[in-house]
Amino acid sequence: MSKNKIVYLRWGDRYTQDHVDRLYDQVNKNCSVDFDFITMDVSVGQSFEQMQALQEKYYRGCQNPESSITENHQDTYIREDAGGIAHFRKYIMFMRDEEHKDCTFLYLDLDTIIRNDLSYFFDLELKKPMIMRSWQFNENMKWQRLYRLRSCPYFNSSVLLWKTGQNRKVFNELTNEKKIEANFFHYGINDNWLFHRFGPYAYNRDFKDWFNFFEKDKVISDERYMSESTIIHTLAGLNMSEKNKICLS
Amino acid sequence: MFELNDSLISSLSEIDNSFQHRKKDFYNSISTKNALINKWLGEEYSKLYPTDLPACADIFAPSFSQYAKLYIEQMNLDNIIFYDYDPEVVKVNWQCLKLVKKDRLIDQKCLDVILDTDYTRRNHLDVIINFSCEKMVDMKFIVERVYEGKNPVFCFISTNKHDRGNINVYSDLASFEKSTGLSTIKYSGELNFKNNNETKYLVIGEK
Repeated sequence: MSKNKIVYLRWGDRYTQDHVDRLYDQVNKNCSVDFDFITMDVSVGQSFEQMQALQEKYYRGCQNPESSITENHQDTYIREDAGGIAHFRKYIMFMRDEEHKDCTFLYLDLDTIIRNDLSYFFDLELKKPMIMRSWQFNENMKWQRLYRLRSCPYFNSSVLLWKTGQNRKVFNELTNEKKIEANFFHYGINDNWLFHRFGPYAYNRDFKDWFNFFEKDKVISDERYMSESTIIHTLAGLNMSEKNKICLS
Repeated sequence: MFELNDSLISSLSEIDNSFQHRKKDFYNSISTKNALINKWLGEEYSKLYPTDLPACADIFAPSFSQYAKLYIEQMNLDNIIFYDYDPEVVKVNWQCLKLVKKDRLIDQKCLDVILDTDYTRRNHLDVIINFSCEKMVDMKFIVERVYEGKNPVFCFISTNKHDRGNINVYSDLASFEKSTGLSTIKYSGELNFKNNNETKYLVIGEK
């Protein structure tokens, strides 16, 4: 068993075993240190059931609540305003990681392209947990302009790096019994919630600037930031068909 | 007249120097519509409650508050805390409130009034005003859970307009009244803005 865990999650039918196999192939070819390729049970347990029920209760749209974009433009509320926190399962990882003592976890979305050696991540000093940053939202002060609309967070949970227990406060804040209903009522997308509760403007000083970021060109979601040393490229702004053409080719 | 301009000029200067990307939001905030809403609140409250003694108030989600003087003076509010989770609003409002700050105790906190309730005050409050109920969970949450055992006057403003960021819109006043959780509603009314195709709701009441 390795202390280096590369984690993927799959739920629903949007992503298939082919996506998992394809990601594993890429990881296997691009990681020069020992690792375990694992998943976690994020769709079982009391916390999951409570959050799933709240997603159903507070989702105000009529599409699949786990879709992070507005697919049905007849919806009264766009996805970000529709409540029900799409992809809340990711934060259950921060509780499930207890099953792996003293490990480092690199989480990757299934629609991730790996271009260089992932060992880079396991050599990083994790003074804080790390998250991918969407640098493109700095352009024209986009994230500042849209902060009040709970939109365009520069946190991007497509790539996360943390040590066992290091993000437990994130899970605890999401499931805090005084706030959990309001969390699911207010936020439509998981990263928007994370950015408001653990980002640069978080009121709670313990939570403020919770994450560090990877170097600008190491992990990207916008091709304009790509360089020869880019390691991970996540696919943003594409529909599923376009993603599949790239991921499964 | 000079004083009003002094406050406005300072706000415009802050926007120009530090927050140019918020110009559009700021100009929208100084529309006649917002002046009318602020005036409406002040007038209706002062018909219901005595204003000879100052009332301590918490004000939620005010956004840019160039017209705050209109209701603060009429309601005779003092010892006021403004809460908004947008730090840029908080910084610009320090200039917007320049005029009313001269003779009243005013503070601001940059937090989410629903999710950061541990950091909002509870005691010795006379009035709670929420200018943006459409951006939050039903006010029943505030009334029943946050101010349990407290009895301030609640003034809630909302809209029927679906717009970005409006996550809790009611199509009529009766539904909005019900969502507040207030058992004693002293005033409820609508203000129509045909140019914006929008109706604003105001509910004033107690538990």
